[in-house]
Amino acid sequence: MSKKPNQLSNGKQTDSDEKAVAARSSSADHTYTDLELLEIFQDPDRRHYAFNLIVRKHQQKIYYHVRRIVIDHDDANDVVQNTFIKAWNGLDHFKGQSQLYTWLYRIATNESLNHLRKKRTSFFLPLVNVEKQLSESLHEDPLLSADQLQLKLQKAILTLPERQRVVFNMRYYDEMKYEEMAEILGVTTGALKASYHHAVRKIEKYITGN
Amino acid sequence: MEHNYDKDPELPEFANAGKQHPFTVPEGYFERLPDTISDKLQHQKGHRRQPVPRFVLAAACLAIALFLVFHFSHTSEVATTPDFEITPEHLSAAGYVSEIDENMLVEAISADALATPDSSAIQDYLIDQKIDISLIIKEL
Repeated sequence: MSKKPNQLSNGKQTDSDEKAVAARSSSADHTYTDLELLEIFQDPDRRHYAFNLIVRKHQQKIYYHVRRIVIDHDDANDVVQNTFIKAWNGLDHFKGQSQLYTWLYRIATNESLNHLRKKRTSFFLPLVNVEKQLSESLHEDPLLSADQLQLKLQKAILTLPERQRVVFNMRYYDEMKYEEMAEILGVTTGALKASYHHAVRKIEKYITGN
Repeated sequence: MEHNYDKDPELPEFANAGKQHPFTVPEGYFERLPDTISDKLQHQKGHRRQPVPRFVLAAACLAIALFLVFHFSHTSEVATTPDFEITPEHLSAAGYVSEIDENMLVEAISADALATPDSSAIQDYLIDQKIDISLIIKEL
């Protein structure tokens, strides 16, 4: 059952807000800029409404970023929910020094990597086995619409070290700027460029070798 | 050889395939997700512990400090003024007596005996003091 978007509110939302949320949730959530949404969030009576719009605006990008790291949909679902809950808890302290979406990406990336770490420790598996497990799960995943070429690329990506995999995904799929990636991952743009370069070479090698 | 990383390398094999990600989601997932997160936030709000007021924290700190002061002052009092006397029974019960070497005792007694003045010295002392020896013998 899908509730109305205004149910995120604390009950003090105005009628116009409800209509606005309903209208935006159906089509264009992106009417407000992140800055405007953050301003609305500062109003205690409208913070749930603002957060609803933030979730709707960024959920897809965050979800697919997480999904590419953890592969499994259920895991990605858990990680995305935790990401937004952490964002809610930390949004009061968000100073606006970085952009909202890079801040959300940073939380999502850390949550995803922590999730993999927990998975590894709970099953006492070394890194390589988790990646192998993820690679095998690609074949079993009913929520994967990949053709053989895409599947091959995903398997190649899974052979990369964890951080390099994140770098590759952000650059290749999200087409993110190196400056933004540097902000999210806390490394220099030079290191990121080199990492992406090596990742592409490894993927090429894997594909030609298989 | 120096690498130039400024230009991104291509993946020619995938040039025609585009950058479509292969992952799909259950139908209506993104319509439901904000509400799922909303429910979790409401649940979290309901179960969130209230922050402890500052005056309660201050009172707790004061109570701990008073306890520590009382505890340590009491401990030092006990150490300086023992409220019991050490008796031979205590020593015996504690096993100290059993640790005394008998040979050491014999040696100590012999030393005392050697230190005793001889009988001629005693007689000279008695004559000097004009004490009647026969009276002493009679008393003994």
